Amino acid sequence: MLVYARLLSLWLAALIGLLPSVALAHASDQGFVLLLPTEAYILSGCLAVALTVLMSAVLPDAWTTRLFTSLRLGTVPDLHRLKTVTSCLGFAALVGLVWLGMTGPRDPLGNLLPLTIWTLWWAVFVVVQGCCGDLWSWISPFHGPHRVLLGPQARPLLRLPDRLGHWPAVAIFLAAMIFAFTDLAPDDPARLARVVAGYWLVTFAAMTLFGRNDWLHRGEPFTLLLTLFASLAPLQGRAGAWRFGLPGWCTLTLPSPSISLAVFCLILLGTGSFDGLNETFWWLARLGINPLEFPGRSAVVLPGILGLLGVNLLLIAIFAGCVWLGQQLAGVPVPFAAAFGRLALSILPIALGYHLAHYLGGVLVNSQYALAALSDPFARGDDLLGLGQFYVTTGFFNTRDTVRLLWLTQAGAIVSAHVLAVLMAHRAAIDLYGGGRRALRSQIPLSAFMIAYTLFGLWLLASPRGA
Amino acid sequence: MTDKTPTRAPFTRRAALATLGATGASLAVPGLLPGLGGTAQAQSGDPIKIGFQVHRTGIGAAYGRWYDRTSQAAVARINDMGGINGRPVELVSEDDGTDPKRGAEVLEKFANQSNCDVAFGTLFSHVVIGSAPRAAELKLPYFVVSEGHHVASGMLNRYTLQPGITDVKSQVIAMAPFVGDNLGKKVTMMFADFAFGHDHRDFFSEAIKEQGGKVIKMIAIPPTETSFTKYFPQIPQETEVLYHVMVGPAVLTFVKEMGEFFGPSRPEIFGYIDSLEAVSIDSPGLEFLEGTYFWEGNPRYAQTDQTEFDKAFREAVGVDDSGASITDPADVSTYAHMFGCWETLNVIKAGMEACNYQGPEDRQALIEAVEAMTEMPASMDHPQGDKLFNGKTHQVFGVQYISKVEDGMLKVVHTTSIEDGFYPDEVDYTTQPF
Repeated sequence: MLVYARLLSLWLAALIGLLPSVALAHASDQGFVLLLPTEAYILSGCLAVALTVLMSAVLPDAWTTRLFTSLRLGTVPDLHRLKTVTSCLGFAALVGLVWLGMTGPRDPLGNLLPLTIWTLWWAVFVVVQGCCGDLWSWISPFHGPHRVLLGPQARPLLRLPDRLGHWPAVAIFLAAMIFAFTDLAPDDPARLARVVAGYWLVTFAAMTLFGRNDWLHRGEPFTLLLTLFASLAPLQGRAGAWRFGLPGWCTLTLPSPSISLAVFCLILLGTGSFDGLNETFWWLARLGINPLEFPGRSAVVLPGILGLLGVNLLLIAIFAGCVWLGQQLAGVPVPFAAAFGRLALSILPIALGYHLAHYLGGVLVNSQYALAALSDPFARGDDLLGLGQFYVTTGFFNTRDTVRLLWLTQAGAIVSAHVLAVLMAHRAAIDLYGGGRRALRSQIPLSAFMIAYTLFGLWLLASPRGA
Repeated sequence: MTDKTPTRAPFTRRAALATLGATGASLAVPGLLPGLGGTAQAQSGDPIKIGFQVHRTGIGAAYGRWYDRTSQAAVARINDMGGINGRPVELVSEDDGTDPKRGAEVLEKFANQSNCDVAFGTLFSHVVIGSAPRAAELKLPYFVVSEGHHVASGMLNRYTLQPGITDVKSQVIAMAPFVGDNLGKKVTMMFADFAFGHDHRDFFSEAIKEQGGKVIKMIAIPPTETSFTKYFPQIPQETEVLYHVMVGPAVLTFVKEMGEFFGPSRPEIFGYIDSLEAVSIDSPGLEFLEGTYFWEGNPRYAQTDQTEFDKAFREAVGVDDSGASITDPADVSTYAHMFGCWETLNVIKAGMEACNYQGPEDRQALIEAVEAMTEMPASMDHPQGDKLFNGKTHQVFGVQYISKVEDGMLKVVHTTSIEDGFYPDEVDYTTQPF
């Protein structure tokens, strides 16, 4: 096979995740990355996280606690009803996008549906939400139409059993990722249009069946993950007031998560990690695939599914092991579920950091395609935005300085996410174990895990990638 | 589309609007929606639809971007000139994901959903090889731009043609006379240890023998290797020419380490620009390439004797004299290959005009018309240079360029003849039934 894959030289140009075009269309930077002193960068990154661990160990508990207090800035107006309107507008936009997916350009990089879903929403909006707070509640296409059609106080037909916890969201998220990872063409506009429309209908039906809020926060994984990430933002509107603090302050005030919600937090990271891992020469070698001769998505469907599930299971097991060991070291009888849940929230910044790092390159390219498609949504030569002659460029992958800047930005996101995670975990441990040495001892395994995960994340960034 | 072409024929726009109108009308008929199995037949006033199987995602995406840009420019030019047989041309771009299974699926969409007249474009060999059988089943002419030898080797079928780019066997064979006569007779080959490298190993070692030369050492590099220092000491002292065909993310490292190994005294070095396609030759770390030679399918840098065709081609695609995008000098094009899209589209046009193509019922006549083609002189339709089409093998032959790196630029030092790349026919597709 691949008899004349000489074109594979553009492995320089091809770092491809399993997720769709946002991770696929980019990057001739790998050759330059291999020439960067990444070992030194990785060492520095790990040292930064290790120093944070040390710092959090010597800081008085009161200081750590104070780090995550928030400052009241002003009153938040009640715009609850307006959200119904904007949500309906979000729904209208989604309908327009689905229509465009069915009838617009067949080219996924010329069609606004895949560009919006995978690039503007999945790659960009998720990060914006994590930095700016809960914007999703304004544009979500789900709750507005439901309120309008079934009334604000619509009574559910059934009750989503409490014992299911957040497991429906876990299952649907994994199913959605399996689609994104293993479908032959998740970018195909018509195919994606059918999937998105179907997903909206199923969600609407589930909201009707089980109650709007219950389903959106326990069954609909994207609202759940966006809500969780939103809690990381420094500025929050809480109880009618704007409050500002260190990123993550609000996350630490969330009710103690159930096991299922904790698992959900962990699979956000596990899934993001696998999406990076599966591109590496290392992973392809495990599959017996020549990374310079990658046969295409259709050849790695089963490994994709098994890898995704396996990495998530492994991460959950390691994390649970760290929490359990921490409990033993602390010597305080705290229920495992409570510790597991509280500490899992500290994984959220890492998941967000990975998300940013993983998609940054793809976003830089595909946002140009999105701009062009916005200017010419039907690919008929329109120039609605007055762009004039517009060529998408990937030139920033072609110079050492820009590749270094890009790499360090990605690495910076990963390292700072781990630094924040260490601090959040320590803050949570003070609550769980009562501070002092017990809290410190409880954090030894988790701190080691975070330093190791920093190493892993930076190694992923520096590794030669194939698929 | 995304890469906007500067000019568009007035009727192109009308035609596009008409198409859109038709699409709008199809909303009322679910069966005609894309993806839902519509099979409406094209009418004579409709545009000629060319299904463009393009690597939008997957490992070929970087090539796909330039293939798309070139193809859009070529279609704009064709439409500016009045289209084909008085009908405008419309590219229907579908992402093949650089995946053979998806490639075959895309061909089905062209044939059964978007009612394309022909399919065109794809590059990576495994996608071509995976798609071509489906093209034959669908009886859909499939014009590929992959430069693989699989077309001329006879492994494909009557519906698959490669009239716009030469194949790798021809390219490699054509290099041997220059290498033997000018660089040296004792050759050491360093190649990536898989099919791509093996082709070079096999074709070149045979061809250099005919020039009285010899490959004295073959050094196969495992594909996952990212450091090469242990391989360079294996190069024999008496080596006169080092022939390297490395690909992958570690190519820049390979060049850097090769420079560190040899220092100022080195043999002549010859490589394929594929290793550095879309990478600036004056990138840091590539200084060592100064004075070395490369095969180029089409010279990336505008030469002093640049043809008017090359000049106009660059202008149409938006590429400057260094082979980079006119809007970003760092965005180096896949110049050695992408001309193939331009030329293939012009061959499709010429073929359709020769057989007075009216619709899918003329697909076989189109193939016969292309099979009947022979000389394709350098022109605006063929800006890369003269070509000769072999209807029996469905493969075009053409001139090849050998360039030397001087002052961080590629300067053409030799242009082969078409005949330098000839080899005996390995198939006669014209004897196969449709």
